[in-house]
Amino acid sequence: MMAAKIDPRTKIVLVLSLTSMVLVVENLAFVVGIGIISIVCALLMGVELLALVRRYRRILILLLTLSIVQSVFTPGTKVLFEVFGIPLLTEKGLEMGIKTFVRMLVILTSGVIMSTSNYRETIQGLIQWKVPYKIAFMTALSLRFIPIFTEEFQDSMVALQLKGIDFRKIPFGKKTQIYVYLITPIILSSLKHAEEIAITMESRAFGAYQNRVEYLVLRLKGYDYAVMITAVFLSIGYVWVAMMV
Amino acid sequence: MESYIKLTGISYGYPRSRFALRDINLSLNRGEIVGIAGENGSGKTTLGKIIMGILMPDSGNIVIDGVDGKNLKLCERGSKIGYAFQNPDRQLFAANVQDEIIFPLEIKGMDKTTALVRAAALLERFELSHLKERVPMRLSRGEKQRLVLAATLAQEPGFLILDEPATGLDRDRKKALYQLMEELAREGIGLAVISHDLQFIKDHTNRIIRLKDGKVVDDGC
Ligand SMILES: Nc1ncnc2c1ncn2[C@@H]1O[C@H](COP(=O)(O)OP(=O)(O)OP(=O)(O)O)[C@@H](O)[C@H]1O
Ligand SMILES: [Mg+2]
Repeated sequence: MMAAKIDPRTKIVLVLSLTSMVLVVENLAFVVGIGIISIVCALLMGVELLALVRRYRRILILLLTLSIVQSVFTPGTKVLFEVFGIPLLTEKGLEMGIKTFVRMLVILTSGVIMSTSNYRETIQGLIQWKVPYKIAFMTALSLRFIPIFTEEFQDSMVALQLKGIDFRKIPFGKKTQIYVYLITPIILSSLKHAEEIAITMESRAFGAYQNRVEYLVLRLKGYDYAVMITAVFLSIGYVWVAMMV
Repeated sequence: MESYIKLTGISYGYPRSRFALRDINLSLNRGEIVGIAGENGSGKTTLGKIIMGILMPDSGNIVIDGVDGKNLKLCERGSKIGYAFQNPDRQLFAANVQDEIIFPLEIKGMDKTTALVRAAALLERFELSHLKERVPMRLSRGEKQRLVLAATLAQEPGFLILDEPATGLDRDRKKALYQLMEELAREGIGLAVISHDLQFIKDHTNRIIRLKDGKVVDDGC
């Protein structure tokens, strides 16, 4: 609906508010609250939730499993579930697991919210805010890489299965090893991407001219200011309340 | 003779793309070296992915080693058919070269000593022994390709699909690759070699399948 009209800078402010909130707040209920808020924001930006869940199904399952693994390994005093006297799940572990899951979910959702804007517009928006072109370009580009990462991630899943690995039958002790294998290629290739982009930019003499000619000029509208100010104040308020309780 | 891989009436179209594989009928046998040729974008890689079960056909069916492809999970297909991706980076995970070969074996329950013995033999065969402590991602392209082959053969597949295996290899390495293909064929493994380099295929395979716009236009010698 109005998604297309919202300035990319407004989205950046929104996304920054959401992610910093979720990383700062420690109270469980409030963390879950931010998770819900960010999904609502994504919906308001015109993101189709169902299509999204289908596209990120694998990653969501991975996030969930990671969180479960984390909650199982966390020691604590209140034991919720035990086998032969060995505490398996503690209250603290469960809480940490849920928080990890929501935090990663909010970061993923932020990427999705940003991808509703064309990346040229995002760059332009940042430049008009006097962000150096190089940095603006890098930021916008890394946001654009999110879909590519998910593709690479899926390729990795396929390649591991072709090595004869059945994800449902991995021995318990090997599970973390498999996650490391899934994530390593993505990190390595993103580092490589960044390096290549930096070299390409140098060789094309980015930054050699002080004033670039802008084709596209973005103008912040009233509702952009409204959304930004609301986002910032609400998140400060939210964090403050979360610290109090 | 019963063929190892049999495709009947396979069609596949990518979502949001005009390209499609149309009505592909093929039999691939063990011990035979087949070349799959065609221009860039003719559908060679797509065909390879369909055979591997990475992509599911819209219609038609595939039988692998007497089993309907629909009943084979990806992890089961991997031990019947080995597949070397066009881009070897996509298939390397481990922290060192030796581990790349042994970790899937260990996960499937092989004990470490047996896995190490198998890995040592494969590393030797692919001239990778001196690199066994190195990080796979940092190898040269040719070394990566050899490692992918070694890791694939560790699963003891009956058939191998190699997507553009000659890319990035110097003349001696190409020759070594060709010798390896012949050796494997003699051992009874079937090979399908995908390449846009018709000369390489003509020189080194017994049968050429030519693709054009997603259709088989030629299947013969
Ligand atoms: N994921 C995808 N989504 C949509 N279209 C695709 C996808 N992958 C490939 N295609 C298209 O399908 C066609 C066939 O691609 P394919 O990779 O099978 O060709 P190829 O014969 O392997 O080419 P090359 O020699 O360049 O490797 C191309 O037109 C390509 O653009
Ligand atoms: Mg190809």
